[in-house]
Amino acid sequence: MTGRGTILLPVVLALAATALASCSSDVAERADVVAALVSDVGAPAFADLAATTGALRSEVDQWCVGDTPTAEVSNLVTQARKQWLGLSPFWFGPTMERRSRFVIDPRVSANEVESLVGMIEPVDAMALRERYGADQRGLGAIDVLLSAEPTATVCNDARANAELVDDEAVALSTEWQSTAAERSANDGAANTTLGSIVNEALFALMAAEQRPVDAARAQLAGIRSVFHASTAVVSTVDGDRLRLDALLDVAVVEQLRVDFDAALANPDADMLDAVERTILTNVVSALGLSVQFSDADGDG
Amino acid sequence: MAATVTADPGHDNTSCSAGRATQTVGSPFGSPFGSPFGYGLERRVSASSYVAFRVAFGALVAIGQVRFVARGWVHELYLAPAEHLTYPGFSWVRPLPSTAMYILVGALAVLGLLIAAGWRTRECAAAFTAGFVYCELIDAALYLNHYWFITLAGLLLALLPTPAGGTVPLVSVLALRAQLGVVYFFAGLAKLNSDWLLRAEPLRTWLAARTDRPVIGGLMDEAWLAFGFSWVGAIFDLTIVGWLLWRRSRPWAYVVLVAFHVATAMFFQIGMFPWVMIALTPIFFAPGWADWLLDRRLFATRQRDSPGLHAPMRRAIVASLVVLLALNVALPLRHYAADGNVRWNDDGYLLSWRVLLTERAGTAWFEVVDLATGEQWTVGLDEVLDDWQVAGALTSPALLLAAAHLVANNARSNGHDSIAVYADAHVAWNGRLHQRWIDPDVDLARVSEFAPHRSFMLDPIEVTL
Repeated sequence: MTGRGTILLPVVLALAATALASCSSDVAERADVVAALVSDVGAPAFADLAATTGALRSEVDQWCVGDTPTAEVSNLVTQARKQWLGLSPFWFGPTMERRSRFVIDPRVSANEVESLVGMIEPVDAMALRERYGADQRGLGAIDVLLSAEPTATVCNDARANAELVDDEAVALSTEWQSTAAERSANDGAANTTLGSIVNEALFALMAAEQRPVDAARAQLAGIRSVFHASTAVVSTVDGDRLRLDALLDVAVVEQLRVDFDAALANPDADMLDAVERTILTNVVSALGLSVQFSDADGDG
Repeated sequence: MAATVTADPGHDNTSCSAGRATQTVGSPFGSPFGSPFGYGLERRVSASSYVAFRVAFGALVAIGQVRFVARGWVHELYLAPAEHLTYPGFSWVRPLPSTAMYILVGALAVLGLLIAAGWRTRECAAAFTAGFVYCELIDAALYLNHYWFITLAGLLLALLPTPAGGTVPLVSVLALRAQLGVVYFFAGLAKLNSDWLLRAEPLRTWLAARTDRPVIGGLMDEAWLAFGFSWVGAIFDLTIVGWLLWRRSRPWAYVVLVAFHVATAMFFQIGMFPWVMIALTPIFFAPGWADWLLDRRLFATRQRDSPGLHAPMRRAIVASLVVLLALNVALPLRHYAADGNVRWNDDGYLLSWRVLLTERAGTAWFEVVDLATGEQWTVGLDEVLDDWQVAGALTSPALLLAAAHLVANNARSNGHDSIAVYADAHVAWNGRLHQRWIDPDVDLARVSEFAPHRSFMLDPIEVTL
């Protein structure tokens, strides 16, 4: 190599390295985003839910002695339901392991709930959890019971359901608090959690199409809160923290904002599909959650 | 003329640095066949690199078939799906009954071992290739570029003269080298596009999801690394054959090649492909690099002394090689003759070594209309296909068209004689915002399976993030 070549090569390499370094992206770390999602969105929202179910439990007691009007208790049931639906991106981990969806607010059958009232052996929270079907318990069961007169047998069942829901919400809150750190302990755990959050959000969007408008909005608001900073659904958390949008390109974030705004204004099937489409395509692709390897020779 | 060529079979007289071999043929192309192929058929070199290729190929395809059974893929991919997405013109190909399918895959593994052992190599390679192609034709969603490579390599082993007396015609080595060279070169050529070079896509997207990998995982979401990998990958593909052919750079080139393919295996779930390329590229070494193989009874060929080929056989081999060479060049280039961007519409994608170039994520369902009654209904892909087929159809216009034809056929078999099928399909590709890509006004039931994809697709909107 000539002397000029000896000088040129390092110069060229240095220039190339500089050019590449200038391309360096200033993206947030995935583990940091997941840590923020779990500790700033999920865990506080579970705590909020537990606070509401605690209040519901005591209000059901008051309703039974005639001190609280039915409407007030119903409002608390509705509030707890909205909070629960807002937590749908976190229906994995402890929520999945405890099968909490089949305890807190499963779809109920009014006939099945009423069939338990006045049984020879009165139901309690433990019995509801372990011996009876999901269509006989939870917030929906309380709704059914509130439509009846607060007799002793009705109150027994209403109290048992309120206790069951509250115990479950408290246990969930505790478990999410205690396991928050491990969900972002390393990049592998963070990627798994990220995938779970997005997958649960997608399932929730599909389910939202079947829900009443208010319930669909609550579910959408919860989903939006994991995507966008400044859209926290929890009053105790400031909205200016890391969210999934920190990992996405500006255009995708803007598209999501447009889609969410339209769907929240009018949560019909088309609007929900639009949100779902952006998540299924751009978000899933950008986060590498379900890489299709459409021409990358897959596994074979 | 059956020219006697004497060459030191252990030396590399086939590379750019050729020169030490001796031969009695006056002019390289002075044979009765008057072509490089004829010359390659007459001139003989050590058979050991050919044998090494054959052993590696046979062993790998045998392992591949065993792996296929062990992972339950015979059932999952061939037998379980209620419907299959077939290639244009091959809708008649159906999977065999369960037991027969397992026997076939087992037979392919045995054929692989026989190829490795050198027992009736050409016959076994022909039988293997036929069976392998049949399996691949069952479902177009199974398409992988390296399956196409296995098919072509199997065809070559079926065509090329086999060793005799410890030597093979030079063409047996050169043809295998050319086949591997085609893969690398056209894969590299396909990387010369703006997404790959100027946006580092799709590697930038894919690598960012690999931050949990050991050692350098923390760097995986850095853009400069994606750019580095993209450019190095393109340069590697375009030049590696040259480095392997040059005797002085060959050892280092092979080390780089191994490192490159091991890295791709670490970062991407690409199955057997890296190991296939690592195991077969030693064909670029000097023909005698593995002479020790010839001493092994298991791998050695029968030591016959009459390597001469009859003229009709020579002509047949030459003609076949010419056709294969033309195919190898024409198929990867055919997209230049088609309208539109191949990375968007896939016109010219199949069989053309377009590897790792596009990340797509899509959504799709069909609106079906009974034109006689006006009845309309929606069909999701998951109503007619298994999950892995859905994943393919969401990101491939050809598979989506095949799925639309399935939906139309199902409707017709349910008494809807006059059917229209429209797709509501969107895709995000290489980091762009999702956009509709199948024309929602085109009745896919009426689109021929042979039609260019562009005829039922919309033009891409060039919105870059």
